[in-house]
Amino acid sequence: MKQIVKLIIKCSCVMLPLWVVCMYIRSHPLAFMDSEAPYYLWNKIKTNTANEQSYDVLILGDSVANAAYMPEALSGTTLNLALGGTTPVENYYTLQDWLAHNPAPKACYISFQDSHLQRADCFWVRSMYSHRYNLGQNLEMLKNAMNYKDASILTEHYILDFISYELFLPNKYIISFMNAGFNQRYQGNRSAQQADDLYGGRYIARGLNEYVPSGEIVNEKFYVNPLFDSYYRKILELCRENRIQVYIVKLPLPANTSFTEEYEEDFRRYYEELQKEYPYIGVDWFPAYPNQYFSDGAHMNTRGALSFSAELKDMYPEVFNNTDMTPNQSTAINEEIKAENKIEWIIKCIDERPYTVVICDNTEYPQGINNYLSQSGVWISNVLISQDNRKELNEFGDFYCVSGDGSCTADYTIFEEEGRLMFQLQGQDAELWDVAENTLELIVIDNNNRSIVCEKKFRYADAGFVISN
Amino acid sequence: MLFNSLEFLIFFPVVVLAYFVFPTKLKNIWLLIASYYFYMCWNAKYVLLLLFSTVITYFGGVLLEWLKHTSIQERKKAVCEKAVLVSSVILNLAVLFYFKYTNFGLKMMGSLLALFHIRLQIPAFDILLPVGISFYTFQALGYTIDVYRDDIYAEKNFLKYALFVSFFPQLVAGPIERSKNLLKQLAVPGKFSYSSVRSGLLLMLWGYFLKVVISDRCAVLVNTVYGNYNTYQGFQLILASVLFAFQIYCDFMGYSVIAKGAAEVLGYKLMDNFSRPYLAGSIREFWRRWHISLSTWLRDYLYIPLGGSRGSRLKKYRNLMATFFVSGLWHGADMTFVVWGGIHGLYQILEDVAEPVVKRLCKIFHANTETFSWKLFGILGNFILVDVAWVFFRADTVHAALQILSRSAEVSNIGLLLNGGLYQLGLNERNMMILFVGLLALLISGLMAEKGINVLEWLSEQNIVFRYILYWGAIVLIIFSLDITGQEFIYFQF
Repeated sequence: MKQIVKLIIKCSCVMLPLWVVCMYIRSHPLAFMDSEAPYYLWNKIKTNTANEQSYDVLILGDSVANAAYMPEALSGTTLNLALGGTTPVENYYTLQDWLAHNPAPKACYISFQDSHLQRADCFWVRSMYSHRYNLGQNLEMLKNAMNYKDASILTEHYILDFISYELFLPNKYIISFMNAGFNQRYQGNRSAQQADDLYGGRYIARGLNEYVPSGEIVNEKFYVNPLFDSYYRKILELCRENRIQVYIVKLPLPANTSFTEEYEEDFRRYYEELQKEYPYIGVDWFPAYPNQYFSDGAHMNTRGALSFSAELKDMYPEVFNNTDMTPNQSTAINEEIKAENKIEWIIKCIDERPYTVVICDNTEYPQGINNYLSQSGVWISNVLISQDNRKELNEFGDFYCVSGDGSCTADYTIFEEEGRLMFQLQGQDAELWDVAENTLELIVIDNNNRSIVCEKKFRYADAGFVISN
Repeated sequence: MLFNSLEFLIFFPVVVLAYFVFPTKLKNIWLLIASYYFYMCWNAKYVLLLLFSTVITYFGGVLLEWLKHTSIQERKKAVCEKAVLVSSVILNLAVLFYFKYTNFGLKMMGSLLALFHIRLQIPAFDILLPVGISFYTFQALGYTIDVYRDDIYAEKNFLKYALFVSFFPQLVAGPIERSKNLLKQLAVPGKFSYSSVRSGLLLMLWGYFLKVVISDRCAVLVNTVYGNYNTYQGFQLILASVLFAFQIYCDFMGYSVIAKGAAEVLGYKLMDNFSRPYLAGSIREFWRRWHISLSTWLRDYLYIPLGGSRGSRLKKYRNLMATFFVSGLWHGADMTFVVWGGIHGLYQILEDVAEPVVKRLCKIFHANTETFSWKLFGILGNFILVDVAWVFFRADTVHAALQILSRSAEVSNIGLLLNGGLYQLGLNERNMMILFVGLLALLISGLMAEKGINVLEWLSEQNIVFRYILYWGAIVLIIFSLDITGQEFIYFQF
């Protein structure tokens, strides 16, 4: 017996490097984990802690949902908990976690792309890898996958994979561990999580990349895998228990996507059956959006998300009735305005929000900026410039002022000083407005924070106004 | 179930723990169950082949034993014994041939007929090669021949015999154990011994080091270059070929060492399968050091029965060539393996022819063959010969092997060793460095063993700090090699 104990102790000592590596993997996930893991971990923290701020709208779903619902554009009390690659299976536990630590929201929007109603392609490499869910939840998922014989979760070595992930064994982490170097990914991953905080959980396809389709995509069949169907129902059941209004939304797809009649029939039949059991749920199928609203064949880019969120907000004013802008919302919108490179989209960004855009146009564009914007469906209702010194300013160009919500347009001054154009927000120092020849210049003001968000220059080209700074 | 899989790292401790906990009577049964489970993890239905081979050779042995003690006429007895032996051999080889050589035979037949302008469209059979079939078939046949030769008594206990054939540490890639060694040991189930468990575990650690740190790393470069050999030449191909020599050595020796270690943990001693083959000074010596269990099997059950070195030189060479062709075919059903075997046969013949000439020349020029430089020359020369043959072993076709050899001769790109081109062959600088450390460890351990030092014993005598630095170093390198590992052992396919 003594020798056996000695052997065990020695073996443990010899294996010390393994224990150290496992402990490191467990305790420092942000130091080396790649891809979407920081977002998964953010989601875990967010749902497993009691949040100071209350949320009355939750978004559940996969990457397409994450990309489409823009909390900063919807309301300050909307939180996007959708995670890339997840299915109803994982989302049920996300909601469960949330409800265990936070008050139930008023409404829940659920969206999945069809493939995530049929197979779980990221269960192991995202959910298990990042330890998003706890042991009990993982075991329950596997047990149910076994009951339904779901091949997309029950991979060839799923028991070994499960053990490897649960024990943080290096065979599953060593590649990212090696690629990361020592602690090299920590800053990047922390920034990713901070961005998640800022954008209310939306992390996929942020940016202006545009999808270039290579042909038509026809969706022929719609079906929901039995395991995922059971979890779909579990989500709805959980919502019913907690009196959460559910909206199932089939999100817009690019214009090159179409559906067969058979698909539409299957879709309608499936959701009608679901509605029979859960009559309180709403099901919406959004028509296609232009291809340039997408970053790829499924995920909306920022412009797409902004348009979709605006449309959704209009459709459900009773849900998104919280109009108070939170600091995070403002910052997120500001960041989006800063990243935007088209005038019409900057105007769309400020629509119905407490922003002011001051425009100085000294281009040769014949019909005027108002006319140009109207071609993109943007109507400036508030074009004016009522400065006392207008005559002096005329040499710099035509001035316009656009208010997002019509609330505040006059707490700034534009004046000429020693032949230079100056811009001054009330109560702040005057700044030089460096207007160049033949450009359209604009300054975006965040009225809530009384700050200049950005200053942008555009020049007129054949294709329209093109950013030049 | 691979030795380098998590599955085995769970399976093995469970088997060992239960083995030492179970009463003596149940130990062998437990090992038998574990061995069959081990085999079934790969393909459950093919366990029937293992059982078939076991049953045939078991009853063959029992029958031979009965015939020996029965009172029938000696001549009749001899005929009956031979009939039993031949039946057992034929039945076993028939299974082996069907699963391993059917498609190869049909392909060869098609090629042969094509020489006479007869074109036959023979479809290939969809046959999955049972893992380890060559190993356990030869082990079982060796037992039958031993009983026939009266070298051992036939085993009466079927379970014990079944365990001998299926003993999981060496079931799928050897060493091909002899009944005189393993079967005898199985008669007395192993007891827990601290020292044997310790040395067994250390052997396993060394085996994993060889496989994961060296072999799998070499494989990355070799696969990159050999997979696209037309785009490489000169030193790139030479480097890949040299590394393949180490890949296959560390792969197979790694497996053998893990097998030996695993058996030792359970209290059994398996034979050594390798004895530093690349330090051999001649091909003959190489074959005394490489895959010892197979080469001695072929020597004892094929070469010597064919006549061995008795009789004329021509007969001896015929026997040599036959043995090496069989060795090549044993490795795989492809012309590349046959050519590989043939080259080694030729090497041996040439060595035999050249030996007296070299001796005479040494005498004339007073060359001292005991000097370091002479030995080093011999080792390097021998390695080159062996490595040239490995090209045929590794290449997909004989034509590809010839291409690789001819492109290897275009040595004009030595600059790649200096300008970073070395790291464009699949292994980056860090991996090259780890590989170098691994090969250095292999060389040092090899030289120590060559000097007659038992490395394990030597290690146990060292300072605890030094020992743990080595253990931890090995484990760290293994852990940090997990990103490139996961490859099957090469000899699984044989």
